[in-house]
Amino acid sequence: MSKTQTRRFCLYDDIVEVAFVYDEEFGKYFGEYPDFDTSPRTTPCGRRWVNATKHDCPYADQEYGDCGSCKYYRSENVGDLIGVCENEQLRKEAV
Amino acid sequence: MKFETAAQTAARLNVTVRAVQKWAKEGRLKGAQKVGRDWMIPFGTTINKKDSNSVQNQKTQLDYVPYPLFQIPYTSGDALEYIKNIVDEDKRNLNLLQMYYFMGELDKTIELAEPYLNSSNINYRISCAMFYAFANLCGDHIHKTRFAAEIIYNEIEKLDLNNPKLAEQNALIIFAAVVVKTQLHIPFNNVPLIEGHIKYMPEGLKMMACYLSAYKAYLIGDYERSIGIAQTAINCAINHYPLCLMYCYIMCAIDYINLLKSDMANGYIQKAWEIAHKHGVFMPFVEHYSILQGLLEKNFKKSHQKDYEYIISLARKYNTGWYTVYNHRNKGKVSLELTPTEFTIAMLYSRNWRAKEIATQLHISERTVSNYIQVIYEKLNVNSRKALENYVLE
Repeated sequence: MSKTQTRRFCLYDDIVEVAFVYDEEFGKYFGEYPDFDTSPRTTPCGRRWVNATKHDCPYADQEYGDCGSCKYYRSENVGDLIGVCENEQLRKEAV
Repeated sequence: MKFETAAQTAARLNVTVRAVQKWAKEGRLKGAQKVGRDWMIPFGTTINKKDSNSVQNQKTQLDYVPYPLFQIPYTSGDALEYIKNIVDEDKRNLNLLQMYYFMGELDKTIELAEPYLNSSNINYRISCAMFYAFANLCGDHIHKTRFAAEIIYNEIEKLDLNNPKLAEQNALIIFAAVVVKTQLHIPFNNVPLIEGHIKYMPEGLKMMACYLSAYKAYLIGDYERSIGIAQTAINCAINHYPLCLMYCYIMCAIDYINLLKSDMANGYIQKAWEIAHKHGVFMPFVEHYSILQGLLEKNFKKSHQKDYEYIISLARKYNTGWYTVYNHRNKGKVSLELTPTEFTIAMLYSRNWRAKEIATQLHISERTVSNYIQVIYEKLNVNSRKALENYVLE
């Protein structure tokens, strides 16, 4: 069995590849996700890629404050830890 | 040498004849000789004061109430030695199983408690059932926890609250029921509010009852009120009840950490640790580990590594059992699959702590906190704080 797998996350005509490394102890693959805070990335139409764990965004749901809980967070599949922010204001700022 | 009878010695020492006979039999009265059915005791012999007090404590407190360790004002760290010297086997066992529980020696607790679950003495029965329930929680014998809880609940159903002569006995039963209900979240119905019965309890137990009342305030997020109750209990205690104090200190620490007053929280957890360390009783930390929110890590992980690891090993078992009893849909996955640090961060993060606040509390960088959260999400298959909160706290 391969100890590393690559998964492609496709959103808004953009693809992000993430390596998943097998954890023997836990018996599960864990993703080595990019940190979009330190290395920002936008889709061709100007939407920002974000980590679900990102917090303190001024547009996020105030009750929880993280991207994963935010109504603007859009991921390819339910439960993905990276996705795209669909907030128009943020897109304009990014552009 | 002049001698006197047991009756004369009893009159001189202001104790019962039976007590003198017992001490003589145990060799505590130097030079005492048995002559026929009576004892001849050298005139003027006195008993070691500590021994005398021990026996008096047993007579005035242990004959009457369950949960004896909550009511004995130990002043030194030799509680186990003291207990082993209690002459009456039942009383000794009752004390011993409670001490073993708080020391984390749960198999011994279970072994000692089991024979008393059917005892005709209601105080023995409910006291042992209470510790039996909690000890089995760590041992993955949840059916035994439920069984013991039922024993206490059966007594609640039989309560006669209109009879003033039973007020003190009722208070002791209600105490056990509230402990099980509050700590294990077993949905007992018809358990009277403890607040109305505290006045009938002995002093040490009053303090524990106040802790339970404070815990209830904590559960609804009224942290200031919880501190007020626990601190008042601490201030009002005439004697020093180590275990009860420890619970009240822990409660204050938890409340303060929820109010983001780390210094106060650290101060209280240090006080609790002093008692735990002195008496070797770490179980109160285990019981509260999931809500201590990194206080143990911050204060003791490095300085008392061995004790810390002991607490963690028990806490993982305890939390797994707790989740199972609580019938949580995830059945202990949170505590089983996460490392202690991940577990702490998961609990803090799900309680709306910001990454920056967690980083400050645990002396790690904000980036490290984010990495931890990512791993927690992956392990638990969630992808948002909202989902984590549902997972951990629902």
